[in-house]
Amino acid sequence: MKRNIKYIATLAIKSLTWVLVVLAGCVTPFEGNFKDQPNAVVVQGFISNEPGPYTIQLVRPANYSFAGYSVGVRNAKVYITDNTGLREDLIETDNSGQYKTQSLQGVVGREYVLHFEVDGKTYESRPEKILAPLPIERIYEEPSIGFDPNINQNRQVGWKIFIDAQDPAETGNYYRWNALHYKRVTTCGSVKDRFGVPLYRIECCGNCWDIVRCSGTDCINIANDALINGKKIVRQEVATVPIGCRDKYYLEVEQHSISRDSYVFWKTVRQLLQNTGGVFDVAPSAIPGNVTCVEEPNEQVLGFFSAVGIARVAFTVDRTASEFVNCPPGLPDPPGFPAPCTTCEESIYRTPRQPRYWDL
Amino acid sequence: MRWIALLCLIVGIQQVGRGQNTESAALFGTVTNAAGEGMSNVTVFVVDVRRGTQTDKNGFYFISLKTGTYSVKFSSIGYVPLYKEVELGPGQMNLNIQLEEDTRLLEEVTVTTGKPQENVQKVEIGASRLNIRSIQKIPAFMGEVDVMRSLLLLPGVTTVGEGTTGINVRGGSVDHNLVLMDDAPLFNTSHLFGFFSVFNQDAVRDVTLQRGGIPAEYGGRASSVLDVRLKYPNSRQFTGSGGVGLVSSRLTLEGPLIPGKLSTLVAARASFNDFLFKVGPPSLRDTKANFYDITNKWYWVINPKHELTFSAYHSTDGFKIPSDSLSTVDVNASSSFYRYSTTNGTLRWQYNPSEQTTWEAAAVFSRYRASTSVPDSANALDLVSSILYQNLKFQYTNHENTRHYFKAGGTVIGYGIEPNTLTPGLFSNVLPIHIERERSVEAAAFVEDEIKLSEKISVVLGLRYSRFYRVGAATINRYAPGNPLADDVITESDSYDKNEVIASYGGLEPRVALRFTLSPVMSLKAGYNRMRQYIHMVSNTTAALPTSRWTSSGPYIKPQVADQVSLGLFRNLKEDTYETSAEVYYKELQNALDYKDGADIVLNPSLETAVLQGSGRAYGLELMAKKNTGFWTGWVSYTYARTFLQIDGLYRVERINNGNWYPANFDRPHTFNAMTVFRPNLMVSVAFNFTLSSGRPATFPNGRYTLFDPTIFGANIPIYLNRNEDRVPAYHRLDFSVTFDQNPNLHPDRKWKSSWVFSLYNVYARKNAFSVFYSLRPYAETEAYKLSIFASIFPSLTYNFKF
Repeated sequence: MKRNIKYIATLAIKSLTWVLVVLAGCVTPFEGNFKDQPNAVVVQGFISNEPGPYTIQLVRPANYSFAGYSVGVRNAKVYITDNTGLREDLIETDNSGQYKTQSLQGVVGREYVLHFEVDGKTYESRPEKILAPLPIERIYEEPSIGFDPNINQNRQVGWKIFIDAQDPAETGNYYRWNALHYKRVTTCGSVKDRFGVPLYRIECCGNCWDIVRCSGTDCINIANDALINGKKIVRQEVATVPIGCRDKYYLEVEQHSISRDSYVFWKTVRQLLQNTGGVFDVAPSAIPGNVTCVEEPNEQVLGFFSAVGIARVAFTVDRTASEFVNCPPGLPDPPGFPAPCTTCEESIYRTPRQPRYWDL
Repeated sequence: MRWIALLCLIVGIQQVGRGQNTESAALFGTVTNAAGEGMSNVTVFVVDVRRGTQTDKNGFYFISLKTGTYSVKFSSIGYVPLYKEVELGPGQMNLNIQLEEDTRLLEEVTVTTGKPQENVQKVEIGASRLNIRSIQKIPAFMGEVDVMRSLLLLPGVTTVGEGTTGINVRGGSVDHNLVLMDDAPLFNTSHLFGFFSVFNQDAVRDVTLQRGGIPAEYGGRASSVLDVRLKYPNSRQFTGSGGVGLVSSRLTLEGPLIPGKLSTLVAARASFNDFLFKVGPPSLRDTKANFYDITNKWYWVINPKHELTFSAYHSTDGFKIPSDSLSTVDVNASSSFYRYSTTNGTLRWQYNPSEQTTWEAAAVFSRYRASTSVPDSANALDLVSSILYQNLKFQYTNHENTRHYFKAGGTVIGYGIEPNTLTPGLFSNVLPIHIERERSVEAAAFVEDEIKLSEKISVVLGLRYSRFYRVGAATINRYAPGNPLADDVITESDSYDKNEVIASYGGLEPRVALRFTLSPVMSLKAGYNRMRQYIHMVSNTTAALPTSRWTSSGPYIKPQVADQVSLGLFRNLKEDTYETSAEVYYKELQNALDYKDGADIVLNPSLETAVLQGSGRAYGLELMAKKNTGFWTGWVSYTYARTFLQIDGLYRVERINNGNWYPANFDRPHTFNAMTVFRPNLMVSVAFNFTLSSGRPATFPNGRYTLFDPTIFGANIPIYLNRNEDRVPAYHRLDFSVTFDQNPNLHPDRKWKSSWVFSLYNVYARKNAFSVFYSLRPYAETEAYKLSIFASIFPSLTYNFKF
């Protein structure tokens, strides 16, 4: 709730910048000297109470002038220990810089430490405890009204998804919410002409779901209980659902119980993503991490290793009777019989595995 | 107890002083203008012995001489200089003078920060005085004569960028300046978020910026005092003046209600510029940006010994932003409305039992209120903050003895800061928030004596003692020891009753200045001052906002204390045609405030968790050369100035840049200003103004990486390592203006006088960078962008009139 208010207040102030810019200023490309990127390691990943495997990513930062990905750190020795003495080594996967656990299962209440060795140096995180996940008591949708510039008036632009939960009696609880949308697809490929323009659709050989992740600068959704401690978390917005085809929109909402350090990390990241260099913007700052180099404690290590307690619920927004529709037409079926089909490739964008609560 | 001893010492010197000096003669009197009002800062210069003084704010002057015959020159900018032959016998001689306004202004048009001789003769160091006539000659943005912006041409004054509010003086942040309008402090000095200043040019008499050697009568802020004095209303006849400009139009009327006794001045200014948005791009057509201000001053001469003045001021700004421009930042509001207003009033009583002594008492009220509203029902909210300032003060001035100019006084200030109250609309999802009102009291007493030790050496000894009480009702958090202050380690809250003292601070503030005359045209000056600041503005944005939060010192936030030493060499050349000066200063700041990385400030109920305190230091060299007379007048100045902060707390989160010194946001090492006015004849004057300065510090990313999270699509995270390690490109700009006046010889009897001012701001349309930022779009080719404000040439035309 606090987040919601602050969000509105700070964004309202930020909007001023844009007005001032439009009034009298301008934005032009700047030919600056890009600094050399630090030769630091960026650590990202988490362990949770949900079944693994868990993935840890180690990369070197990219230069700011260079478009593309960061470079993965290969051949690192990565392992996770807990406070009961358990240890599991992670295995490097095909994806450069990604390391996966094999059988490790996070347990609520245990503290985990990430260790890795790169270039002869040892790194470790501060211990992170998997906090007991807080159940989501209620999840519900409400139509959201917004301004449509085409008709120059307000109308329904989608739905907002809210949750309620009961904050525990003790203080110092930190939350993060994520939402993943799974969209059932029947088209897994297309036939293109020689200019690359798709002509016909190719059906999937079996079930297939697109995974739609959050994009933009407003994806990081966090809160703490300083203002509501022990009370109910009410009407916490966790996702927005746009107007689309007349279908059932399935999404999974995760409620993470996170540590204070993790909360500060995400909060700083959110601030950086929303910066537009304006007169009234918060000046950019370093993101506090939780990993240090054992041999050289002053070495800059970026990123964060966290342990999270996840409560997950599924929710479906029934769009079958919605007043407004925004449904792009599909491609026609190819002529001939039998229609060809193509496999549904497992990736971060698509999966042939049925989402956990799909039948619900 | 030490201060009492020092106080006794100063009073003692005063008493001893009275017993001396019976042999020599003295000349004293009052200088008035045609309206019979006392004129301050008139130069009284005894030509034969090359000695001079200046009138005080009531027009009184006093100069000690040997008996003999002298030629005395009385001069002030904009007035015909008057020469008097005086035969001075033993004892004191009274000589009252009335100066005639020079309507032609040919010989005496000078854009100057004071009088030529003052540069060398006054004891004060680091003071600049700008007459409103001088300010009016400076080419103005959109034709709006701007008191605050004109100060940027003085050495030692900078700003974080164009279109931002406030000034930075000798390494002080915006809230370190005490801005007074006839004794009432202003908490926001600009209209429309920093585009224009709140002072109406027709109501202002002069502006004094004290940036070193600050007199003991001022206190409460760490860096500087900007004293804006309003004009006294004309007590002889009704007159008016005004103007029509692109941004605002103004009208001032003044005159006597009882001639010679009671007179008043009303000055109003308003902007009618919505039409500018109507011709703009479609997305701006719903924008509304308006302001108005009203200045009113009453002057009542009860009898020759008693007078009463009342000054009142009100200004309001309204700013409405349409939905389209908001959608750029995804705010789901169809519009937002910002409104802020200043209301202040000063009632001042002055009693002159004799020509050399004055008693003054004043009651001051000032209120600043800022609000943000979102009207949409789902998110409707009103965010309101306000500051209330109430002040009672008195002052005693005595210069019976020619070797002493003695002042003493006291002041009590009550502050009420309403940090932020959020009221949701009727059907709003937003939760209400009320942050507790902060109440506090500041009391101070001071003594100051300007002592003429010999013909060559004068010294000002001043001492101020101030005490600050933060009082209840309030709830103050306690934090678990061994942790950085944070809202999750609050162990309990203590409640304080109304008027119960929660925290108290105080201490001595010595103020010393010394002048050593090396020759009639050259002097060496030195100054030291300590200033204590008890209320602070906290902001984590690059430029201060009109909605920025103010807070008072308390159990966790300590007062800021600044110590400054400065040294200057002042020399006039060619019969005071040229004035030159070189000043160096070094300043240290204790408990300098900066914000914690990632902290919330606007709606934080425990602000101490969001701010950090450390040390600051600033040093610099200020060079200035002025030409005061002739067809060409003007000045050039160069400033080298550095400002650094160090925030080195106990815990890692309480450090900035690992506890190392880092440049402040407004640290601009090199600044060069040139300002010139060419007046070839009575009708035309042409002015140029050029400014060049280093870019301000900024933080650029050292690199980036892609966020690895199963639920977020490839966001690029910039890597920032240290604050303010980089700089935006250097800033330079040329402005031009030309003023056409009526020929005064053509219709010398006509009352209506008018002039046209045409000005060009940013003549060569340089896109000066305000900031540099980086694109964060996923998979986009990353590029750096430069944000410019006032990135084009701005012409304007203003018509001014006077009757």
